Amino acid sequence: MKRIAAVLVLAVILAGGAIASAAQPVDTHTPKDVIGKNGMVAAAHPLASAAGIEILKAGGNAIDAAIATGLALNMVEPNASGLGGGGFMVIRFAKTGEVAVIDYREMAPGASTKDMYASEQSSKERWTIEGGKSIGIPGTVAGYFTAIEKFGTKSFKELSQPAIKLGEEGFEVSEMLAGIIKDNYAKMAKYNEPEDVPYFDEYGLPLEKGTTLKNPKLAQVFKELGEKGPSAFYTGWVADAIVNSIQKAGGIMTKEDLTKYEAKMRTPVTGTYRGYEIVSVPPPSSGGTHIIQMLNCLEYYDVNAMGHNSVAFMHTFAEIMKLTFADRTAYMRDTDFGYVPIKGLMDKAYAKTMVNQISPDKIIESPKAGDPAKYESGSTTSFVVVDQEGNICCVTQTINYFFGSGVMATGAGFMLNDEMDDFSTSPTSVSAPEPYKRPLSSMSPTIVLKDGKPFVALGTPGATRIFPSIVQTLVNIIDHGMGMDEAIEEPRFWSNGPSVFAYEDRIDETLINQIAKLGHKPKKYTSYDAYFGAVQGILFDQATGIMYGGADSRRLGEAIGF
Amino acid sequence: MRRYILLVLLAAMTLAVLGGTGIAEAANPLLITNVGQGAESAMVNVLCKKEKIAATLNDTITASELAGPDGKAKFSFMAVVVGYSGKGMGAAGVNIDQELVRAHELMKKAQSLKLPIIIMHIGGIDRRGESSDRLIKEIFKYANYALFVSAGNYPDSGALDKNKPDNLLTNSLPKGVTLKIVSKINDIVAPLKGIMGL
Repeated sequence: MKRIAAVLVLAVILAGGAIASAAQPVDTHTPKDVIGKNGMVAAAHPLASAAGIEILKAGGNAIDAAIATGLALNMVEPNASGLGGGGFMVIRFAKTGEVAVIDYREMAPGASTKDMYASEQSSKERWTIEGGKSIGIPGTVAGYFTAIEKFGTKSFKELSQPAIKLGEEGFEVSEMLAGIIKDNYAKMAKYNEPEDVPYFDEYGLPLEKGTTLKNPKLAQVFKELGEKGPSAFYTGWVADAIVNSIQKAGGIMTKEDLTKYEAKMRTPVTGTYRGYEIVSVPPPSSGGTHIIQMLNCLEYYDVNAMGHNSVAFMHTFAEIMKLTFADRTAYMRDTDFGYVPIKGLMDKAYAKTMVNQISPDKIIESPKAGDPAKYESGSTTSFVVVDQEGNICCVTQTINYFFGSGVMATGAGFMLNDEMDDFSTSPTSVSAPEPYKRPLSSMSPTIVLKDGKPFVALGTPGATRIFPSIVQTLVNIIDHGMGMDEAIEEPRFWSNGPSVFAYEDRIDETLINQIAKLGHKPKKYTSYDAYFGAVQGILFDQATGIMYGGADSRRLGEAIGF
Repeated sequence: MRRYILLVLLAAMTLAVLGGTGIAEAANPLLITNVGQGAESAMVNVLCKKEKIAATLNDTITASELAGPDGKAKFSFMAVVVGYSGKGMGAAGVNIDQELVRAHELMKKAQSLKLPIIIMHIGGIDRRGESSDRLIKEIFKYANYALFVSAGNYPDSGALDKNKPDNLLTNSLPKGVTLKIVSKINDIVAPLKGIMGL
C-alpha cells in the first residue's frame, strides 16, 4: 500500500518536472519514502545527503558521492564518524554484479598487549573508552583514497568541496547535536583546550541549538588531503597533531604506527533468506555473518504468520539473538589474527541446531556458543548511495562512542576514535588486543538482491544493536511487505543474553508483560531511541526503476533522490 | 541590645572571613564537585580556567578526601553542581541512592570542616525532572551560597506546567543563603568571584 502511494506521488511530481520527494510528513517519525529514479543518497543528516547529491548531479558515481557524503558527515555529524575513525564500504557494480568490500577499520597501536586493559586501574579510569589509550589507528583516510583510486571518477579535491564549504561557512546546530555535545562535554573539556574544540562557544561552553558551527581547521585538512593525498594525514603535520594529542592524553600510538595503516579489500559474506541474496561485510566485522546466521534461523519460522512484533516473534528472535551473541563472543575476531568459522556460522544446518534449542514458552537461561566448525566445508553512522548507472555504495563508519575518545587532533578539527573499546579486556579472549589487530566490529552495510538484481541496500549505527536492527528491518520488508521508511520507523527490540530485553516503549506494554512471563527481563527505552541504531536504506523496484529512500528519525536522517 | 549588636558583629566577621580576599588566595581555593553527574561541573571548571580561578574538578570526591593530613579542609570553597544525568551516572557507575549517600556524607563533612558550600544549578530545565528534583530537595539544604540559572526554576515534570516557574530551586534553600540568579551559565563567573572575594 505504502509503495503504491509512493508511486502515485512520483507520478504527480514527475509530471510537474520537479525533483521527486514525497509530501512533507506530519512529524519526523511519520514514515516518508523519498523517491528517485536517477540517483539517491540516504544519510544521517540532510546536509550530508545533499553533498552526495551534488556530486551525483555533477557526474560522479556512487563511490564518489559516498565519499562526499562521508566528508560532509564529519562536519555536520562530528560525533559519529570522521577522519579520526574507520569503517566499511560495500560497493556493488551494476554492470558486472561484482561486489567489493573496503575494510578501513582501525588497528591497534604497535605497543598494544593482550592484557593492556585487564587492570582495575584501566576499568576505573575507563581506558578503553576515553583518553589516549582508547584510540586505534584511524583508517578513514586510507579507505577513502583506496575507494577513489580503485573505483572513483573524481579527485578527493573535487569530492571534498561540499564539506569544505560547510566547514568554512558553518551550519545551524540542531537540538539533537546540541544535546549530544552537552552530553559529551566533560570528556572533550578534559582532554582539549576549549578554544581547540569547534563544538564549544567563545566561553568554552557547548554550542547551543540554533547557533552556527564552523570548522575551518578541518576544512584546511581536507584541502591539504586534496593537494597532497593520504600522506598529508599519515606522515605530515596532521600525523604529528594526532600522535602528540594522543600521547598527551596518555596514549601509546606513535608516528610509525600511523605509517603502518592500510585499508584492505575483503571478500563479502553471502547468504540467502527466502530467495533473497544477502551480501554483507566479513570479519573483522561480525555484523554481516550474524545477519545471515540470524536470517537462517528465522527462515525456519513462518514470521509473517507469527505477526509483526508479536510475543511469539519477539521471544523467538530474542532467543536467536542470545545464541548469536554467544557465538560472537566465542569466535569472532580479526581473521588476520586467527581462524573464524564463518561458513559454519552461516550454514543453514547450523542454524537448525540453534533453532532446536529454542522453546516457545521459556527462555534459554544460559545461552552457549555452538560448534559451527562441524558445518564448515571450506556510536557510527551509515549511508547508502545509488548512482544513475545503478552502482550502489553502502557505508557504515564510526569513531565508536559519540565524540569518540574525547581527544581531538589539536589544530586539525577532528575527533579521534575510542575503537580500542571493541577489543575484549580479557587477555584470554580471541578478541584481546594485539599489535596492529583490528578490533571486532558489528558494522554491516548490506545489499540484498532478488533474482540477481538489487532489492534493498541498508546500514545502521548502533554498536551491537546493528545487525539485529538490520535483520528486523529486513524482516519488516520481506516478511511483512512494508515500505522502506515504514520498515525503518517500526519499533525495535534487542537482547544479547538473559539479563536484558531492551525495547522501544511503542511496543504494547501488555505484550512486554507476556515477554517478561517467559523469563525475559524487559528494559524500556524511549519511543524512537538512537540506542537501536539509525537505519538508512534504499529499496529498489526493478519493474519501474524507482528507488524508495528511507532515513531513520531516531537521528536526523534524510534521503534525497532525483 | 548589646548582645544583639555583638551577634551582628560576629556574623559580619564570619562573613568577612568566609568571603574575604585571604581565603581565595589559598593553594586550593575552589573544589568543584557534582551531585547527579551532569556535564555542568566541567563547564564551571572551564569557566574558572578561562578566568584564572584556581580550581580542582572532582566529580566523585568522597567525604574522606576533603581534609588533609592536618585534619583541615584542603579547599577554601566547595562548589556543588547539582543535576541528574542518566548518562553521567552510568559513566560514574552509580545509582541515585549511592550518589545521595556520597553527597550527604560530603556535605556533612564540609560543614564539620567549616568549608563553605556553594550550591549551583546551572543546567536549566534539562536538569529538572523526577531524579534531579530529588537531588535538589535533599542537597540544597546544605547551601551557604547559591548560584542558579533562572530557567532551572521551571519544572520539567508532567504534573506541572512547564511554562510556569515552580521556584523549586529557590524554595529548597535554607533561609538567609546568599543567592544569585543569572540567565546564562557564563554569567556565574562574576558572582562566583564575589563569593570567593576575588
